[in-house]
Amino acid sequence: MYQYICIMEKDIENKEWMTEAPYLAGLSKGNQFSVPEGYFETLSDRIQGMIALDSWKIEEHEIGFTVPENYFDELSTRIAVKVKVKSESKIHKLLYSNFFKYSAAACIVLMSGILLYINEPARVSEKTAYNEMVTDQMLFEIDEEMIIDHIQQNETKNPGDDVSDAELENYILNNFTQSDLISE
Amino acid sequence: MKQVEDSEILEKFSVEKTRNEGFNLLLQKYQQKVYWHIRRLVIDHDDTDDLVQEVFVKVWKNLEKFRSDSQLYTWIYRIATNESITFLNKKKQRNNVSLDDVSSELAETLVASDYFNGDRIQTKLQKALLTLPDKQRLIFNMKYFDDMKYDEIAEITGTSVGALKASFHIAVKKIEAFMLNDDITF
Repeated sequence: MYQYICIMEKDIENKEWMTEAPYLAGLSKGNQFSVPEGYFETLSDRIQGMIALDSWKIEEHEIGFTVPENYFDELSTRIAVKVKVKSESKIHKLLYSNFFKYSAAACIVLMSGILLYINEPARVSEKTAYNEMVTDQMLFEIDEEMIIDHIQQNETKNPGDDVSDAELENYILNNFTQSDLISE
Repeated sequence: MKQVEDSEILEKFSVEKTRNEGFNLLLQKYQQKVYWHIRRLVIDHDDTDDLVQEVFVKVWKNLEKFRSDSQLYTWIYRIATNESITFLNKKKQRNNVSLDDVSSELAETLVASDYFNGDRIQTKLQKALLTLPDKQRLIFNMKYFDDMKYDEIAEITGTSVGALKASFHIAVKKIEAFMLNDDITF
């Protein structure tokens, strides 16, 4: 009964597409591919050979190498010993390395100081040139008449106008020697 | 010759002493089915031969974990399908070619093969199949050639029955149109 139902289901499924593709439905479904002679007779042997090879690889003789007896049992102990020896020798090394570390740091600071000193005038002149350029640019952008008015206003009032001749004479005598005045 | 039941194969395989005998029965029952399933997908005999061996090595390794909630043959077909699709994807990546180029490469393999004896119409049908995407071709093969039910195909491909029906319907229409196109001749 179950088999009969399955066949019925398949028929219904197939009828759906067969009505839509009558040409395809009419074609032979025979297998057009072939295999070399005797292929299937040897296939299971070759598959079992592959399985044997695969198991052999996994189990022990991976790529033909072996290890001495109890090698892996003693391996962790030997690694622990080597790690201990290395960490001790590292302490000595650190003592020496501190000296080199501080020397190197001192050299770097010294070299940086010298380089800074040598390059300073150049940097100052660069700064000055940059400031002049900015000022020129600002003046260029200000209206010419405004600049002329500003200069004229400043010219009318001299900084020395408020000071009397006697006060000036006293100031010169107090602050400059005779040789200074002669050289001027 | 009476075909051995899957339950008998599994029973023999579960016992250490009869494991090889059980596996041998499995090979006798399924090796040809698996071969043709893969061959229709990858076309070339040598590629199929490699894949069949890989599939059965996987079956051997994992049969112990097989749960009887699915049928043995759908489980084996699933492994074979996954291996074949992976192989085709790797082939595309290795050759750095598009899907269309792989199809034409497979079509060339088909024509040049010593192991394809199809006439003009059968060659045209195979070439029409190679125009389909891999998964659609897989579904078409299982429905058209293997006469499988949608439920079984769904279990193998992990796709819903509705999606399978739609995919097969589209594939049939494409193949029919290709076959009726007289401009395509060989």
